[in-house]
Amino acid sequence: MGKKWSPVQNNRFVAPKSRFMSLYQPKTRFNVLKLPLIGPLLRWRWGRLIFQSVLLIVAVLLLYDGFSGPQFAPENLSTVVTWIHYRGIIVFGFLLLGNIFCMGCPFTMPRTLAKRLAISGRRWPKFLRNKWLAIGLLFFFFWAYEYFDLFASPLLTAWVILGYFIASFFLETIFSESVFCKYVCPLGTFNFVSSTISPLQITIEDRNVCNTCTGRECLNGTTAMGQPGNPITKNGAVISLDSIDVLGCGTELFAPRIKSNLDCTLCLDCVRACPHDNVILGARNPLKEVKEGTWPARWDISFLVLIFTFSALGNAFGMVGPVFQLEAWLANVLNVQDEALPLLIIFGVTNLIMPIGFGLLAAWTSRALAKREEPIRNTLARYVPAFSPLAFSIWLAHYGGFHFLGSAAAISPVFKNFLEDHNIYFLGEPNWTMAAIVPLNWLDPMEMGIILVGLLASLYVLGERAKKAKPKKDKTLAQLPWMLLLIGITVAAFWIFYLPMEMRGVSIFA
Amino acid sequence: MLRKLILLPSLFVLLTACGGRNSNQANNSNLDIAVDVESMMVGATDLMVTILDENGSPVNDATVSIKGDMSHAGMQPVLGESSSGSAGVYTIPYEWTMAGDWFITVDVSRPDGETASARFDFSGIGGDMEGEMDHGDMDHGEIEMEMDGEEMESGSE
Repeated sequence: MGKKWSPVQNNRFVAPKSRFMSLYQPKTRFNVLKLPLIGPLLRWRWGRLIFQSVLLIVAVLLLYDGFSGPQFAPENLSTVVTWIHYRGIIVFGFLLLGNIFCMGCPFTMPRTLAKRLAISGRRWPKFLRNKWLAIGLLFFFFWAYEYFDLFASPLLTAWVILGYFIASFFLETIFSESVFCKYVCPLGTFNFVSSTISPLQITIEDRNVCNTCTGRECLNGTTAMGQPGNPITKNGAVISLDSIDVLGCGTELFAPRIKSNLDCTLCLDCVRACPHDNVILGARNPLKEVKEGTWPARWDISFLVLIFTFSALGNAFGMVGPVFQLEAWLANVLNVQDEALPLLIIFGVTNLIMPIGFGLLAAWTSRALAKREEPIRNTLARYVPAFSPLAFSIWLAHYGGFHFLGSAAAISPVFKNFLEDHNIYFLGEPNWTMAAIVPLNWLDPMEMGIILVGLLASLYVLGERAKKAKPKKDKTLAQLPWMLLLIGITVAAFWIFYLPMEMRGVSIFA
Repeated sequence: MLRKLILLPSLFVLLTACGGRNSNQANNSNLDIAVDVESMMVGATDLMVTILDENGSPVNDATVSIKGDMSHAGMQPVLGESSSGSAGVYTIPYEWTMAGDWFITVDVSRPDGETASARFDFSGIGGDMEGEMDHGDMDHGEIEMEMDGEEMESGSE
């Protein structure tokens, strides 16, 4: 997470007076960047651009079909790819690799252009340098997804994609850092929390190299360097920095102090910028970060993780019958015809009030049972990372299990239909029976299994974090409120997933 | 410069809106198509597709294909077909596989090459948890849609 350095002229960060600061160099099993083919591709100056270009082509295709294609969600690439494949692929990506979408995010492609057009290069306001805005936008996104039935509207889905491009571009233009990724983007916020259980992380190979580094190119980029009398050498030769021109970390993470995937977009700019080849993409135990990591004891981060957890329930709850009955009851009580307010109340309770309320209650009880005298914020921060595995497992079961495994093959007939509508027939006739890529009767047990594994991982992390409590470890009694909360969330997830799905949403734009 | 950059996405939207994808599904007839369904609850049922020609006479020589999709992306469609009509009515076994909002797309082709296609909105298919009363109040009986520039009606009543 963040650093304590002060920005100076040209938004360049300088090292503190004490050269030998606390640098983090975990034991790394292997460096992905040393793999043949993949490593050189990732390290290549234009490596990210290749991934981004592929996703940009996909995004343009989705925009095209969303705006101009049939406004029928099951047959439009915009809705099928966005709500089935995007969500499914990213959750499996977190599980197997890391934040791969942010790595190839096409929305940030205009970043370099925006930087060159920067009006003032100003800093993001201090009062917004936290996760509150991101939490608000994430909440709004989930509400809007249900209220506007985005999954049923190709047109609105296309507008969402276009909105991302525009918002990213303007924020990158106005501000000197990647504020869109770090403080605004709901997708990025979702991805950051999810990637805390990913097996890959940016770190360093040798802390001594960082200790003697003066340029901090991983943070500043090579464009900020090239100062007279301060040449950077590699293998004994002075590097011409002007010819490299690589941006440093957009979210202002300093590679040798990264202990968490939070805020890391996996853009690998730090890797490319480091003239010493000392920044690596290392493999780690997927639970290492949540088990050992020390996230800042900040309200916004703790509540973000809890809200991420309860939103997994809220989002799934929006797909089952009782939510419609509840909506209808609320609409009747409130005497409103529109579902905006009832939905806001339902999501307000499930996605905001419950996580904050239960989180504070568990922290207060846990602190009392441990007989500690510490701010509630610290108790909360100690145990909140334990929610990441369970939360992610619920999202994985929903997006990866139900939607992706249950529907991924639908891309075949939809794409063939798209081609046919453009008089392209070489792929053959669409076979509309294609949808699931696993037998449908596997889905329920798989989803339950995934959630159960998530619970077990969370309970394990909880125990490990209790052991690390200072000045003395927390006994089981102090963990009890958290255990109950984790088990309660799991039971709620089981209940929701076992309910028959009820997919409503006839878009007003259909 | 910035103004031009603002204009780019707008231009893209306009271009795609003006000259986008056109479905190859052809309607070259004035057939009237109506769809009736026995049950609006999750489970097996029969769809009755009624086809009349422009004079209001029943059409019995058509091949009728139906494709049931949910309103959102990704659910496996339910397919069916019939080529034997009686008094213009084609009965096709069907299954509502999930509660929620459905669309039934009907494709009709006749031996003389005449084809027609129409889509019908069946919102509010009920789940196992809900009682019949809930669905008795639903307004799914009158479904309007457009075919060949004319509005047509389909109903379950």
